Amino acid sequence: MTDSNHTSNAHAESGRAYVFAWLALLVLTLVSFGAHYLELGAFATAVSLIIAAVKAGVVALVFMHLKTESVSVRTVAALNLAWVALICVGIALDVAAH
Amino acid sequence: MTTAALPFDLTEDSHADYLRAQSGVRSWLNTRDHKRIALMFLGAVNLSLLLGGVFALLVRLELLTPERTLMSASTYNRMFTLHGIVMVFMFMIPSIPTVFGNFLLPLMLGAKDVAFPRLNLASFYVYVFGSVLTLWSMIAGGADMGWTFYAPYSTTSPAAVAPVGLGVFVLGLSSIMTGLNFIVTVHTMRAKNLRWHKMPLFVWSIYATSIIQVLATPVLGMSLLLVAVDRLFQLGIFDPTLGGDPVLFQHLFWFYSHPAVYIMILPAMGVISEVVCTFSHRPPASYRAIAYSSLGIAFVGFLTWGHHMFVAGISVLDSGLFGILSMFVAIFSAIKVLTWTATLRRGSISFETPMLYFFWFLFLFVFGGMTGVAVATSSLDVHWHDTYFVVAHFHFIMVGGTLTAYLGALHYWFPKLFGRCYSERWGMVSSITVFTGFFFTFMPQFLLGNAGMPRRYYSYPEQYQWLNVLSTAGASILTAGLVSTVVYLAVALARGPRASQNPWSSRSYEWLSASPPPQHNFLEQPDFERSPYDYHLPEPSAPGAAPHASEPAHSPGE
Amino acid sequence: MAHEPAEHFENLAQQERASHLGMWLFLTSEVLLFGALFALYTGYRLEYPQDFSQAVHHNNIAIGTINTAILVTSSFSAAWAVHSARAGSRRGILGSLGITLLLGLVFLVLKGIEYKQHFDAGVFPGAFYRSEELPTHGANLFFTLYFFITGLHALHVIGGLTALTILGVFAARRHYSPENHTPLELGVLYWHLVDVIWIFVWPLMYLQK
Repeated sequence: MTDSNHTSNAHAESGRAYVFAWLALLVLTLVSFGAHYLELGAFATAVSLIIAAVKAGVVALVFMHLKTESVSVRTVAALNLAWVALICVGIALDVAAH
Repeated sequence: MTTAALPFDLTEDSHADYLRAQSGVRSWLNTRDHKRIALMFLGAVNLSLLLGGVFALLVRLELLTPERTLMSASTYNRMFTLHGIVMVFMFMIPSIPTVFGNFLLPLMLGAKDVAFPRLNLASFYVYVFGSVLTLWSMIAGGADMGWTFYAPYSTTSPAAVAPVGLGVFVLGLSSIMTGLNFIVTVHTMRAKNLRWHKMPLFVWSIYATSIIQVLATPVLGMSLLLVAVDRLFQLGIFDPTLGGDPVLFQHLFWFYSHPAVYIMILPAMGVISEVVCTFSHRPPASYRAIAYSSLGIAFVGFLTWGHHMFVAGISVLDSGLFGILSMFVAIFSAIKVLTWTATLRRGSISFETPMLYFFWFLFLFVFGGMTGVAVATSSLDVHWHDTYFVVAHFHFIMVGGTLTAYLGALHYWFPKLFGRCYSERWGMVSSITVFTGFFFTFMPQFLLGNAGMPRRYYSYPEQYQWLNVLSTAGASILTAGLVSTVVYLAVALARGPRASQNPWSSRSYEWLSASPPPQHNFLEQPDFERSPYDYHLPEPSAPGAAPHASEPAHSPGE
Repeated sequence: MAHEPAEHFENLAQQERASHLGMWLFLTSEVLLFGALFALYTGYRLEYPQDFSQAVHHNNIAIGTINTAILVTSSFSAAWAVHSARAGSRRGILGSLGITLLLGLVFLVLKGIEYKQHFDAGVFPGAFYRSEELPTHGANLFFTLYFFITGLHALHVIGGLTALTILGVFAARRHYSPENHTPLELGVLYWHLVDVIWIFVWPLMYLQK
């Protein structure tokens, strides 16, 4: 799997990426928590879900190595989000349009 | 022809065909060989077909007369429920993928096995366990909610709904395992020179099916789990008296169960694509049209679930969207049908049993599909919804499509599976009987439904009787056709003449292996540079024929 | 340690591609299992916006937020276990997995405390619902979904912890090398999924007003 030549460099780099990702996740959690106390009204849900999506993206890309995975795996990952959104939207279009 | 040897040692044993390579019951029950697992599935799904068929016959017998014929109304409800559940979840969904997908995928891809052989075996046992759990409900009092599990009836019915729900949940697990395995197999197990656009069309359709299995089945699993837990612990999540919304159950159920129709029909389309090329001795009129329309159907199939709910009180917006999106399925289906018929043109067609099934499929699928477009029109659906028109429609599509293709596949690949030939004459006669029986079972049901007879009813006004009698008579003919098929195939299995490696002169890759194939599929890796449909070139010589060279080889019909 | 691919694979790279894709497809089916519940949540929330808003308010936002921080941190330590495996550090693997297990257990304990608070307030799922503070159908449905989603999630946490424990035992027995530690990677992928699902549960169950 690994090439002995470039691994040590890439290894240190990925170590830093993990730390940054972790810090980013904690900051985003705090931001979302803070936004809860702002009066965002109708946008509150959208804001918190967008932040959640960004966090999930960070976990997937860095921790789950999606950045370096094959195209097929990345397609599968994208299908996840799309299909959950599809079923939620299909139901929402029914319930909300009554 | 490349002659590169396989990268593992060939012992004497692996020269033997997969049926004889090992012996003993344990060598079957504990096998990792996709071909043996396929045969175990063949036995299991045929048993399910038999069971579901018996339930169907009982339903048809009860409907011979307007009032009670041989069972009570509540027994009747249990019969049609079991018929639906057994046929959908235990026969049609697993049938072609687990039997022919399992057997053929590695052969068509030049692989030694599927990506995860142990998972493959596990999926068989999970299937058996799920089936037992489902059927156990019969002893536990039977289930009477129909195959759709509609809440709130399913959560309040006194019948044994929970074991069926959990049984189908487990069957779903098996389905996901199969789908997952096949997707990974197609992506990672192709032979070195086998590019995506050289894969036989059957592989494309199984691949598209597998995507649906992985993406949709969990949603069904969750909705059935909710129903089962609801019954066990009184969750009341779909119970209107607790504020629950039964229509949300329908959303979840059809999010799976509409795409499930394509889990049943896409593999059938794959079989048909192979059969039409082989028996017309022509490449498909457009390879890409057939391959891509499989993916198109898989995708659009996810956007149409609401068309089952036009009269359930969904919003006008949803009705309109789902109605229009449903029509798109017809576009992709038409692309396929037109490509198949165009393939016939200028082909040198040979009329043998599998090809007969192709023509039955074509008729039933086109007729069923067009009535599908009709019921997808929301205003017309109000008239037909929950009548026998819908019953006839989905039997034309799902049974007419899947069952004829399943039988076609069984006949087409029978020499490959078992190395034996069946009686072509009996094949033709039975095939015609099956179609005749099928036609007279369901054609009257279109008329019944249009005249207003609701589905699932136990009794009916006398004016509907003659059509019901006709339908039951048709079912009896269908049964006769299926029974005779079982008999002559069993005879062929025991003492049919030996099949040659490629009795139909097909160009597809699976025929490059011996009949039946050796344990590791190919003794010599075939040349996957050439197309599986190169009928304009002379027939390639057979690299795997050696083991049977000493035995006299027959073609069917000799 | 020499690693050989299973007989039906050509080489290790092919086997690894297959197992990664297989794992991601398995995770997909898990996501859609939860997806069905999120879809129900969507439907009921649109049907009972007021009741849902009040019910969310009832949840303990402090515990919810702390648990979110705990799970993202455990994801980091789990990722670090793979990082250590790539560097060939057995102690790194074991230390990271140990921290992950600890954080997972703390998460479960906090979740249990929360459940206890709900039960004390008469908040039970379905027909057992007894809350006098929030006597509406909508709140009842919210908590039924809450228990179903968080309960299923907790089962996944337990499953993930079991898997990571087994992988830890294998790591201690020197089963993993920088070249080959696919089982560890796959187990950790599963743990990340547990984290990702919670990342969406948190705003839906704790943050909306």
